[in-house]
Amino acid sequence: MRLKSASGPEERQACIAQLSDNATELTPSVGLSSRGAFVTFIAVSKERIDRMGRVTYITHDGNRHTVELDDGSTVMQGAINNEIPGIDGDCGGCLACGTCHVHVDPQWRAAVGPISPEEADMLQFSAEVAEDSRLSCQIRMRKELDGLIVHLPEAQH
Amino acid sequence: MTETLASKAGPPVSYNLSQFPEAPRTIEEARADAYSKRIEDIDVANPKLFHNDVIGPYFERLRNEDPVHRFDSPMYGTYWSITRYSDIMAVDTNHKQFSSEASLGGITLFGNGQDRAPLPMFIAMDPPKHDVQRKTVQPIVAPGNLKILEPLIRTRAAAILDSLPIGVEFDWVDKVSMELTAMTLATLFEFPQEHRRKLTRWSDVATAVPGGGVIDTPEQWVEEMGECFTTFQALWHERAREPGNDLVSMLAHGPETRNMPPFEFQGNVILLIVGGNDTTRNTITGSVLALNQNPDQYAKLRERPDLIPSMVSETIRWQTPLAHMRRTAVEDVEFGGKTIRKGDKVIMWYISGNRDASMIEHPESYLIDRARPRQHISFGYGIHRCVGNRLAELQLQIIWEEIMKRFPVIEVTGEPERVYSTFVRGYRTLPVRIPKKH
Repeated sequence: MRLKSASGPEERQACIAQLSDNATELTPSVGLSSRGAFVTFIAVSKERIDRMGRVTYITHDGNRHTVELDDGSTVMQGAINNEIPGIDGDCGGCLACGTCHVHVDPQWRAAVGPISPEEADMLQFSAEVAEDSRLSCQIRMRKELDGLIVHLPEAQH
Repeated sequence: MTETLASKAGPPVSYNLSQFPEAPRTIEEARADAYSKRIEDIDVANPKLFHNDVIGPYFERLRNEDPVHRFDSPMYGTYWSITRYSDIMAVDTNHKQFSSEASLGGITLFGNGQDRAPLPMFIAMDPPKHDVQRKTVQPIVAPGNLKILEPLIRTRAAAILDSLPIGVEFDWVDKVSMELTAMTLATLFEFPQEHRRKLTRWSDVATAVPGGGVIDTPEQWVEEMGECFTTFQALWHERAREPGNDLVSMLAHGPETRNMPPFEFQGNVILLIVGGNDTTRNTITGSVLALNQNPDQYAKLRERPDLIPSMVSETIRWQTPLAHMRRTAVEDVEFGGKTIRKGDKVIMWYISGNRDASMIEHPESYLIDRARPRQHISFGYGIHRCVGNRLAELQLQIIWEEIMKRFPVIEVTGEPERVYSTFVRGYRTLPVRIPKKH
């Protein structure tokens, strides 16, 4: 039931299809009926923890937030789930809106890996895009990213 | 008549409002009508259904029974209605198969690839041309520029509100929604403020159906838009010589846009006028209406003004100021169990996606404290997602912050008059009164 990465066109379509599946199927079962589909989904994915890794978000005004993410969940989900300000994720993590833009800390850029053409398409319209920019819905926690540091932009556009 | 840019462009629709069937008057009648028809006979593309605000039950039935719905329209030819949130998102993000290209018909129901190709404008382009043109104007709504605009908008909002009559009925659309958004738009173009209402007028005319109250005939469209084009052509030449920090200067000097043909410049001007004016204006009006129709929510807002940003997002969902966007299939596509043929019009009904219960809980309710208020589909998704969305939100937030400082309540005193459009979901008038303080 975990949301797949939306790194290619097929994956993105699968992610979008799952958005409403998850909304209808899971909302009653986790007892979060007053909350949105997206929050519900995270609540479910938290039940399937096998391994975790730490991510540090540094906000534009310099505040640091370090949280633990289970393997496979995204840096965007980590921010939303922990109410870290500065990441919106309006589309629910399907590479469709560009509002989870982050700057990857220089020492982590190689480990995060290359950007997909679909991500680059979307990311190009975010504000203040730079070489180190990524959409955080496309960065999934895995062993090599334990300790990851990302910097949040001034605003999400 | 000699051909001008405006006559070459022509109005978005060539027929008169009287050619559309009459629409039900009440939502109950509409529900009965929507559910008594054969599903294949449902035609949602009737501006009268939007004018009477009775479109909801038709979309409800399509979402549940035929979410990818084909109709062969006498006015528009074959068009597909995409009515579920996730299907709309799937089309919107799939720009390789679903094109926005003007020469194929563009981004509204009205155009086609033959005699009615709309003006080229960046929203009606595919990559790579779309990408470079959008990036040329995008800095005007970047965070840095919004910081500059914010105090200006606030000062103007305060002045507008302080000038309102107290204890008597007036039109909110004219005195507030149009004023604030026209001032902002004039600033973005560095257009003379004293002529700002021309921008409002042109944005109304640009999308008007002849006979719907804004213009009477297609010829009137050509005449009025002709004035718009001439005015902006002059501005282009002026800014080409002496650039300012405005949209016309950006287009006249951007490496990717400075050589664009006049036709394409005018298309982009229309895009920026309509996108930068109508949408926010109608959502400002919609916010007053929605809060009046939901007094419990209005009370909640008074108790908790910190809910303003969330109320703004909810109003943008509730209003859905652009009811649809259109794409054209560039190849045969299997979608939702149907075969959409190459060249078919595909209409993404945002107004329906925003009422989809599979994505939005209690979608018919207006709730200003939703857990995920930004998860609406009004801005679209994918590369064409609304470029000015933060400026829209900013204007709405500021006007409401300033309203709450002054007036505990703005009372709606009569029915709004809505526009005849399947595209712009808006209001011509909304009578209101601000009660005297005791």
